[in-house]
Amino acid sequence: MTRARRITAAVALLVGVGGGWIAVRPGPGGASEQAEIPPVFLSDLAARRLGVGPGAQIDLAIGPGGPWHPARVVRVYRPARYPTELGQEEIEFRLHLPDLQALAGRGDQVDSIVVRLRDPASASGVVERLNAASLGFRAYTSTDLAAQSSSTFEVITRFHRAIGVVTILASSVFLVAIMTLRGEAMQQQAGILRLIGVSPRTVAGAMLLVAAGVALLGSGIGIGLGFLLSLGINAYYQRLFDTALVFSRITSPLVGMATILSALLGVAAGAVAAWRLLRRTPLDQVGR
Amino acid sequence: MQPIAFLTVRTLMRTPARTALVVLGLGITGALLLDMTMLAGGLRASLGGVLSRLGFAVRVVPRGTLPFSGDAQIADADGLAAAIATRPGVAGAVPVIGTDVYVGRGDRRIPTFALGVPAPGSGVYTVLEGTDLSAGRTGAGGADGGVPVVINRHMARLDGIGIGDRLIVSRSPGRTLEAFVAVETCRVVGVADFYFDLPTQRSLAVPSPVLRRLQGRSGTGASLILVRMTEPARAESLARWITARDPRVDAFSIQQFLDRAAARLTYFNQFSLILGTISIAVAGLLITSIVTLSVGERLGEIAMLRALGFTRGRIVELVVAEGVALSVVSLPGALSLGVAIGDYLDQILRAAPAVPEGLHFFTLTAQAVARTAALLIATGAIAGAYPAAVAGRLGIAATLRREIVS
Repeated sequence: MTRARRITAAVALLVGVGGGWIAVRPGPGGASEQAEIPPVFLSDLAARRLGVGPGAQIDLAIGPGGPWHPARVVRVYRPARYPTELGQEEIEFRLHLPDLQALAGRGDQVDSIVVRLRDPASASGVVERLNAASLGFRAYTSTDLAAQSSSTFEVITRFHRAIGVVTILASSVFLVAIMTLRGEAMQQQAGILRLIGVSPRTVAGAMLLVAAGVALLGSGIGIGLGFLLSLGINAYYQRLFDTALVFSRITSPLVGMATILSALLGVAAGAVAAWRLLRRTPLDQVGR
Repeated sequence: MQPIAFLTVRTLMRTPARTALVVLGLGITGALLLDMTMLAGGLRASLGGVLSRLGFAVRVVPRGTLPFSGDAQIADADGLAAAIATRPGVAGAVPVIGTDVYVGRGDRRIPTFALGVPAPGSGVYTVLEGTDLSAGRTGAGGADGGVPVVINRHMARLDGIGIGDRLIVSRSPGRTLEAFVAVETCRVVGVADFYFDLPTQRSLAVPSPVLRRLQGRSGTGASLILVRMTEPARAESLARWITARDPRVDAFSIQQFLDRAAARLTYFNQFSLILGTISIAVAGLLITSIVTLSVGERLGEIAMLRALGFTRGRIVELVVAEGVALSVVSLPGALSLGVAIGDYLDQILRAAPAVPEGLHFFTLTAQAVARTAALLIATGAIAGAYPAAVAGRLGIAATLRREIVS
């Protein structure tokens, strides 16, 4: 055993695991030795980085200086990762609670206790009673915890919304500029139409239709591009973070909102262009 | 060059409304580009700025961790700090303990982050009012019966605690368990600015031995060793020496620390890259559309210039110059608007939990401004290339004839 441990130390691959450490040791021991060794579940990332699989024997320590305790990998699992954990490279493993407590030398201490209630509606009252006891812990309802952990995402959502407003502003100006140019290009045509008796209202209506058409066509192309971009973003980030989380989602309400917004913007841009078009007299427009 | 500049200005001034619209559009997309450039390196620049201001060139942490990211400690940190202090170029090495405690004030128990420092003047915080922890105190209560502590401004403001007040400090959140854990009676001697505090975080500093007693830890462990250097240029070699000397620790210069922290900023880097690219594409499209239409309206004029002796190259220069001029004219607006929008977006992001007070996501740097200006001008030049190619290929006689016939 001592000999094996020494060999292990010589070839140890050390990886930080929060407060814990893992050392790979080559080959499992005998049957009686295996029976005493605590089983461990290793995350797929940990297994990949350590190059081990079920049946492998590893050494665990709470700090890089040891002391090292042997453990046996019985399963490799894929942890459910939360968005907040993305980009973090810590690897995970799971032990039975008594084994982890023994490894950490923390007696029967735990970090948290999850309580299942017969009547979930009474959660607030239970939390109040537990906190009033002042027994060295703080209790929270699941709703409180969810609100706390989601506040980062609420901020990110507000940030995205603000960026969205800026991009809408930029695209509005873009649309107005394009429609203004279109209107200028239509000056002569509009002048002739007005001279042969077509009412200014009809000319303005045509301009609005053209603008709305351009905006709708643009939004169709934009949705298509957005869909492709979304596919690319998901493929890239799912691969980068090795996760099944969806990073970009194009929903029907989103498509509807984008279409309505661009149509409204198009009509507004068309109105500006029509106003600029009808400001001049028909003779002026045909160059007389 | 002079005739090209003259013609460019005249062309843009001929249709002021159109030019104004394009400049407005470019101003907004340029603002977005500046914001994304600021965001790409903002947090890193801000973090680097704060770290540099503290004056510690090297940080030593338990291996595999970041400062105060867990309960892990460097065993015999005092010994390691003493060894580091003997290295050339080192002005001092300060072992610091960080942990969560509860401060009792009447019936209230206030969750507080406690820093254990070995001596006053450690530079881990700046005293604003009162005095620092007394030199030579090992934490035993003085004749006045209280261990000296320095609190942060939040605790003073939000909890109404002032200099001279007495506090109960323990690891227990309630009175019941205080009988079973170490408890210290402390006296506030100063109010200080603690770096990297969260917006409402309460912090206090006590002598290291007191905090170790509260933690129930023996020995001379510490969460972090801060190294001040007279020659910061030696920081990286010192960090290498420390890591080689003690395999239980990681040592980082500020640059290395920022590199490690950068791995956690992937979201912002990728976001700014995507949105920055889209901004450039929109700006490019806008310039191409406008200049192409403008060239289309001036085919006769361009053919005339060619007939007067302008070479194809000069015509290409003229059209490209229009694209560049639009970018240049839009720059002041883009930069001003970008700074304003960046401030607003920064406020939104800084409302996120666990963002320290001194950090900013959008940091205006000369580099960000220069990069934005260069990207926008290059976009103008590239966007002008297509209409320039169209104008350069014009046949003089055919174009003039077409213009006259039409």
